[in-house]
Amino acid sequence: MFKQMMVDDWANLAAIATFAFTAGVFIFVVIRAIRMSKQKRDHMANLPLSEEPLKQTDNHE
Amino acid sequence: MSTQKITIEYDDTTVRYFMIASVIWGAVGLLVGVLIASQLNFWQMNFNMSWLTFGRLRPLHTNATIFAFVGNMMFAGVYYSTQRLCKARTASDLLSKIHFWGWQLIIVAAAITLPLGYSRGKEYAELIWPINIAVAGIWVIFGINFFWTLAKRNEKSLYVAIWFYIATIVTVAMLYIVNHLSLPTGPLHSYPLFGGVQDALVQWWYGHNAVAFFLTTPILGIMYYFIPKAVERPVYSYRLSVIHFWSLVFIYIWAGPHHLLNTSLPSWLQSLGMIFSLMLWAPSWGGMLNGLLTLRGAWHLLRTDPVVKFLAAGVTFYGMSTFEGPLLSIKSVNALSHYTDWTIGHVHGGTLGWNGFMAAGMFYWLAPRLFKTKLHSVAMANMHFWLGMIGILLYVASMWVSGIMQGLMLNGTNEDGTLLAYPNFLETLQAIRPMMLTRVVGGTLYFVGYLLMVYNLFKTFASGSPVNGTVEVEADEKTIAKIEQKFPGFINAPVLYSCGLILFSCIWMFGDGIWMILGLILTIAVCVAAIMHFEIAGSKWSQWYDQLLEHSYVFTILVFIAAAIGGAVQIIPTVTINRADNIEGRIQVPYTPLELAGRDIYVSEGCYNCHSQMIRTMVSDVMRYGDYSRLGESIYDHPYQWGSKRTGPDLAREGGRRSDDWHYFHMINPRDISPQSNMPAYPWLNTADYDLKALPAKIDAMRRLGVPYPMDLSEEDIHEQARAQAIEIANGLNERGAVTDENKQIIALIAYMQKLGKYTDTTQVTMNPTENQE
Repeated sequence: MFKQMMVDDWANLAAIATFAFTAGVFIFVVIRAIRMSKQKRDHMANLPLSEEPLKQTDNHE
Repeated sequence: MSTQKITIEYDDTTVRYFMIASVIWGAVGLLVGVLIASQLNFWQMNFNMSWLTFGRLRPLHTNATIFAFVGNMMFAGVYYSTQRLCKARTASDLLSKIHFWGWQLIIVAAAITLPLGYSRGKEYAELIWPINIAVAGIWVIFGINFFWTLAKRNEKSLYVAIWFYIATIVTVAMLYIVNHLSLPTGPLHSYPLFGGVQDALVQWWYGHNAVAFFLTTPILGIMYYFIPKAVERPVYSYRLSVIHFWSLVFIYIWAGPHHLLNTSLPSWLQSLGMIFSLMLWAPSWGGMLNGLLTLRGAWHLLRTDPVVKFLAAGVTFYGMSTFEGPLLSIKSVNALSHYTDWTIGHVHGGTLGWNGFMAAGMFYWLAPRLFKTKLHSVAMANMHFWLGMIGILLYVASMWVSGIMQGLMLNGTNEDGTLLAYPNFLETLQAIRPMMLTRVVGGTLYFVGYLLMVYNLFKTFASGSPVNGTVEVEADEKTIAKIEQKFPGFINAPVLYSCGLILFSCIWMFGDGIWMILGLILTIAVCVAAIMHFEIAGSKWSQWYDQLLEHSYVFTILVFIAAAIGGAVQIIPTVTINRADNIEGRIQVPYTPLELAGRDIYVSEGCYNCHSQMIRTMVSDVMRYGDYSRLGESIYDHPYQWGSKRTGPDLAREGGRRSDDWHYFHMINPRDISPQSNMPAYPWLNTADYDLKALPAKIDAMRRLGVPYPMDLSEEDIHEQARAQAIEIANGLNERGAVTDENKQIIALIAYMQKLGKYTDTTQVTMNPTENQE
């Protein structure tokens, strides 16, 4: 098989195979993202906003 | 379970240091950028000084802006946001200090060595091997500190910004190490392990993904953190951010070959590069829209808040650049754009717009908070924005016009396609001079705006005092550790099926005869078994996936696999094919010792920044430069020198085309030969001696890399061969009025130039074993 890859013009095969592989990964990720619960989504999305410092202390550098 | 409240003080000192370093190095990088842009218009600005020539300063500009400006900015953003997203102080102050000072030391070393001509001759990978080792070491320290912080975190979930940082750390380490594998010949010189097409592929796997994983993914992490902070709204769609992340990480790594379209790179690799580049449109625009739509309900801030202004414009430039990138990756478009200023315009839309504006937005947001004060001048920040914006537009628009115009002129033929429309290369250079001048104006405006930011930020720093943020958390210290323990690990169904699938696919693809058939059968069997098992235990599998996203180490391994797979598929077959015994047709003739010395001078002077050595499979290229380049014709080139820009003509078949004295006078002063040339003069090549003593070590290194030098070639033989060839060239030059002697660098460089394009035709080797030439 590897020798055929070297010798043959397998551009079409390589492109289709890798496209199919990538599409598989993409579909899996989309399904996982869609199935994420609202609670989880809201929690994750608000993480940057949920850690406001309560106070600031002087730092004598 | 015991809980306790603890107050955590963040290490913002490191953030301040990196921010200040970024601001200062950014000014240096931009200043050098304006200088080299000016040199292309006014050759006098090379000052006839070796360390101020375009070829040496251009790598300084790219390395300073990428690794010093964006690198320090990225570290500032990562250290600031990671601590807060993890509700934990950075794990080790000592490692943070080593990271900071080590990185600055590396930058200083680069700023000294690059102008002195110490270069590996590969774009964005020019730094010499001792500095490469330092970069890898400091990067590992950064990685340890980062992952250690994640292990200490007091927040269970890993926000998407952290995902992008993980991808950056893992992938940059992989790319940097592989592309910098070298065989040293001395303390300041080495040859890359890879050569020819293999080196080209590895280089652009690295080069393209340096853009992806150094200039893009960390800044996307910063976008997902700082835009919600700036507008005080959560990200528009967290789902979209998840899809954005995985799609980008998985697809980006495959796209490197689009830098080598229409070259002698195998066509299947070119097709892969093009297709994956086109697929990048979707995740990139998904990310851009997610960033911009986070401003929903807060668009009015664009009028009043410079932070939002810079961040929104930065994300918009990200969208523009990621639209243009795939466009330029279409083979037919690339035939026009490649080697022209269009690529330069594309790159600067991304760096000045996306990186520069995101950095400015982040700095304007951070400065008042890190120094407990107000921004010194909002008006000055707004002025910076508009100067920068006009500067970018002038820069990018002029480079578009320049690139398309020069591309059309260089590719143009008469109606029946038998003659070039513009056979004189210099004619095309003259046509784009007004655009090159406009670029200087645009770049200068951007630089002036940047200087306003420098002043504004330092006045802000001076008006306040440094403070560290704190947070109070209810931390059960064992919580995260327990989660890590609960992870089902790698010995489970999804992982085992995946490993089996990869293993049996490899047997199928690489095996012969019975192994090939067995591999195919087992691959199908594993797929069927996995589907059946999933139907029975699907819920447990999804549980495994969900837990995966909360375990930083496991997540990191998954990211590594996603990023590595594209490189492996592309590079491993090329490693095999790039051997002389696997190539039919033309094989490069190895360089003589003197020619090798000349080649090292060519690399050192950065000639590859303006001259390519790759004649593409295009009619106009062949008509202009000669027969198209074959795979085997650069097989012994460590490093490869195909180039990425033609400010001057291609040199792949330069050997024998012109006389030695033409080259001599051209290098001493190009205007004596070509009055319209913008090439720097190289008078020091006729005063400095080439390094004769280093040649045996270099030949030995080349031999180890697979270049077929005779094993019985002694040190004396090498010196004698070099001297004999040099004397012959020098005598010829002296007879024609060129004053020189056989020890000078110019002699070695001329020897190299006259060798370019020499090959042995293996299909005719029995009839004519001597070297051929076009």
